[in-house]
Amino acid sequence: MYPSRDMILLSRAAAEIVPRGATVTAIRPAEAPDYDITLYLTAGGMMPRHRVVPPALDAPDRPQFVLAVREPLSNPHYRLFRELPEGRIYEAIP
Amino acid sequence: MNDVVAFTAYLLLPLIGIAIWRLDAVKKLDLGGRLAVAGAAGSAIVTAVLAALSIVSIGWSRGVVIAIVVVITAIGIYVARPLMTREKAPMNRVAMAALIIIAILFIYGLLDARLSCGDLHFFWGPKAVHFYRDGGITLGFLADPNTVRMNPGYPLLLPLIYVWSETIARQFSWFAAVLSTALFLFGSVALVRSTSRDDRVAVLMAATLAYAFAIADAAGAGEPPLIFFETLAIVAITFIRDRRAQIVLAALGLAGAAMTKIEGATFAIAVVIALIVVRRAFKQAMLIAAPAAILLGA
Repeated sequence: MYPSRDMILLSRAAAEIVPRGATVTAIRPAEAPDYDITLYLTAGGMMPRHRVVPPALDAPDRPQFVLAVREPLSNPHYRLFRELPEGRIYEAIP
Repeated sequence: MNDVVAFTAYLLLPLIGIAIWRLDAVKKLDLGGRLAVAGAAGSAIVTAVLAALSIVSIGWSRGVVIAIVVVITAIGIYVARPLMTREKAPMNRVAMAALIIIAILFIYGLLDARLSCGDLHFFWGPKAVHFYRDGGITLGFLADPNTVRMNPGYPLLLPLIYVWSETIARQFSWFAAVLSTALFLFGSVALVRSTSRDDRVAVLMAATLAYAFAIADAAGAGEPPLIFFETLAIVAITFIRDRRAQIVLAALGLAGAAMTKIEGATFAIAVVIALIVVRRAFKQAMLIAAPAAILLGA
């Protein structure tokens, strides 16, 4: 199964959990640092009330939330926000 | 329920474009061909209405869009009278059985989503979702650096047809978008059969397109409507004898193709070159290509 299938399910669920208007990106952590851009594009269609941006997790203006499918994310800038059957949601550490 | 309503919006497209039945050459087609031609016209009308509203900065409220479309449809029904014709083209039973089997297999593939195209989820669908939410084609969205991977300069016919469905259903239906591929596929087949009057060609085209869409996972992407409009242009030039109808239908096909995908513009150029080289029909080629060229220029 393609990870985009998991992302469709995760982003649909996340759309109801992540605060509206927040910046969000979507990744498969194992692909770091060359993340598959189609995952955040997929989330963009599922989360129209959020601002879905490319996965620049280490940039100064990093996304407020990260949707991660398959593997857990290990990044010092983020902490686990919610774990769902479809994947995990991380929030940026202020 | 939302999926059903959203899909019904696609089924309404032939009604919206019914004015094109006024052409005698279209009246001579069987019902399948007439519905397909009207569907192409309806798609173009819906796209034009939504684009025009955005150009004049009028938001896509449900009431405004539906009111305009209803007026256009009513005028279309009036000018297309009489709607019933005696043209019938009974189909060979073997060909009918083959088409039904192909349709069942293909629709099964669409309904279980295994034929879905990634591009539907990556940009065709998200564009429609965001345009609908913004109430128009917003330059802010297209110019956003975050959407650069969504081909912001791409033609807009398909996302706007999706917006039409979304306007009716109040929510984007991914399944209805995927299922619309069947309409474009069998619309293409109906165009070929209705104009060529050859059942075997229709079966061959249905089998070829269904197989191609299946192995390419093309459902919901730009290719099915692109092929639909290209088919309209080709059958108009090849099989329609009435010069006026030939120009109108071919122009509609080329304009639709050019507004669906960039490849449609390449196709339009190829048609113009072919008409000039093979038929020495320079003026006809220019008339046929004019709407596509104007739309691309715009």
